[in-house]
Amino acid sequence: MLIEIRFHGRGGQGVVTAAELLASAAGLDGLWSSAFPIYGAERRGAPIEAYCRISKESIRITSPVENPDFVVVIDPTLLQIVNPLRGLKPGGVIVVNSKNTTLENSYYLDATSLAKEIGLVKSGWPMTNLIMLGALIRVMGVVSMDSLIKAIREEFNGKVAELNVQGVKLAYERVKGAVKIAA
Amino acid sequence: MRKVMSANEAVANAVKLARVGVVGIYPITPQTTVIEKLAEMKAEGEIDADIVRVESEHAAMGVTLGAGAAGVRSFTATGSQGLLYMHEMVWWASGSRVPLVMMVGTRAVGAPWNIWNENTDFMSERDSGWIMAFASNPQEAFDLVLQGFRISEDERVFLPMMVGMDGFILTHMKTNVYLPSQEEVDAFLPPRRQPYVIDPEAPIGMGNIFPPVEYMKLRHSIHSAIQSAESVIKEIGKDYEKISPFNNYRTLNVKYRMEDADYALVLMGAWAGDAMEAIDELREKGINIGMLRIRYLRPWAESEIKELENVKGILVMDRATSLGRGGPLYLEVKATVRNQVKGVVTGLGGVLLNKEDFKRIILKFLKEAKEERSDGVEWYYPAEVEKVELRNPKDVE
Amino acid sequence: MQHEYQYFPITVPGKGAGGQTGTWRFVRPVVNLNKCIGCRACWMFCPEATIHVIDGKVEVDYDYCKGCGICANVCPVKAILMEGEDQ
Repeated sequence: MLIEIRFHGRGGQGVVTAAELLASAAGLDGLWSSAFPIYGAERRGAPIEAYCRISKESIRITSPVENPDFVVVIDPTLLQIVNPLRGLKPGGVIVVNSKNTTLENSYYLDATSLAKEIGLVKSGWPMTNLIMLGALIRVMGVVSMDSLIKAIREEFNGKVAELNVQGVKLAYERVKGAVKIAA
Repeated sequence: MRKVMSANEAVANAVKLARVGVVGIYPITPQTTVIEKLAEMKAEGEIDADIVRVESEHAAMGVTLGAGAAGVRSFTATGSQGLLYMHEMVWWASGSRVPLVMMVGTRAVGAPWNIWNENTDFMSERDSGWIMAFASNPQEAFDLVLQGFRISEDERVFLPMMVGMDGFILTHMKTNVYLPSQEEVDAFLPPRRQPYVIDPEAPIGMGNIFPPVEYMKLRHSIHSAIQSAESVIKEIGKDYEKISPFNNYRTLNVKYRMEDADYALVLMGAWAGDAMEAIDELREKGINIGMLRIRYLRPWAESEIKELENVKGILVMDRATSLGRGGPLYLEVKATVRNQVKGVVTGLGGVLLNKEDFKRIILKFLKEAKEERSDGVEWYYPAEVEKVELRNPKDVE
Repeated sequence: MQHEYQYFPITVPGKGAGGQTGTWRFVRPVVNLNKCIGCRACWMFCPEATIHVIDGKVEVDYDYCKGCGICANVCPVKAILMEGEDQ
């Protein structure tokens, strides 16, 4: 089993943190994982991608994910600018921050509204990165919510941690898709 | 304890567990998160070390070497321009025979500016008289830094040790790392030993002028100490198994599917992981290729490399160049074996290779090897590099 | 050291690391103790630390004095004269 996930967002939206926390949560579940971004483009607003791999065995590969099993689109405006779906494996799944979607084999969650609703806003930017992880782990069914919450609390403290915990729990419940989600 | 962390965090944890007393350090991408983690540990009261923020890498090594000479276990970390700026003091550390450990997060060297991975900075210290190891994953980064203190402080060695790791690809890649407990590390790592300690009560001169005959003898002593380190590293690697689940430190370098290999790929660093994936796929097609991953550049384990003489062809891949000549690893291998050796220089300045690139490089080499013309150096361009148009001043006008 | 190849770049302070440098001398400082006021100027300026002040009076260690003449030059009362070794 090797699950490859690619995250798309913009610099400042916590794309790298999302990939890293997913890896940390997988580690807490006793799985092997690795997470890294393509560095050099980490300017606020510029398109960013970050990668996460999860496996039952140790992971040797270090090159970027070119054929993901899952694509997570943290910022849907990128769909018009770059091609987050490139190289998606046949049967690969898209999880997009959107009010709705027509993309095939996709799941969607209005993470931006959710972030505003719970007050998870930083410098005017709704922080949707970890909220999207709540949706992703539901769709993936590999990483547990307990581990994700633990990973969030290890990385953040106080209010930021608790808002994100609240966010991932709501995201887990609210994510919708063309394909019926197992309860 | 197994926890997901980057190689830089793993290195900071090794420094903590080794109970390092002084860290003289200056930030540089991609090493900066090592300092950040150490500073955080200091702020949280997890470490007692004095973290000395200096004005340059030259001073960083000055502080680290000075603390080491005064009898304190010391550590620093740098890379790229920083390592080059430190270069003079790097030699001063080995010439002084003061044990210490330095992490090098590798990165290309300017001009022009480039923050991405390349190993030329690390390779350019190969004549400096240090013990030089290169990690291929964050776990190994941790293990080598921790073992580094014991290797460096061994009386048969008494030389500083640097541990290289690919910038960003390892330094910033988070993955599962096993950390032994403090009690286990205390049992593994004896109190600091060193050949002499500077002490105002019993003054000595350190590095004072040596006449030609004594200087030459001293250089030979460092040469012998590096060679003697080979058996020390194996001994310490075996002992490391008492505190770690990893048992692949009994040799300096690491073989992969070499038992029945007709051809060998030689390289070092993180891309060994991708190369192994490519080798596995080629093996399924009946291509008998194996890999020797170089983990120690110094000492150069000649007997381990010489085993390559049993294969039909050798391919060496360098993420570094001696410009106008070839990859440094290629030149080292070529100087060790009698076979034909092909060198490939690629992945410079952050250029990334995937499994398909490795397969392409290997298949081309096999074709040449069968025609007995697998010699010399080739620059391999992944597709994205191939597209780059050259610039000259006329275009700029 | 147990390992015969090991060699370290340290020096221990002691007399005459460069040998008996007194043999390098062709003029020697001679102190007129009647004139000497014990001010220690020569002791302070001697680059080789071969001047010792004992009971307020100057003594030169001729085994190591190179005969450079600095002491004679700095003596405020001209109590030190440089005399040829051949005299």
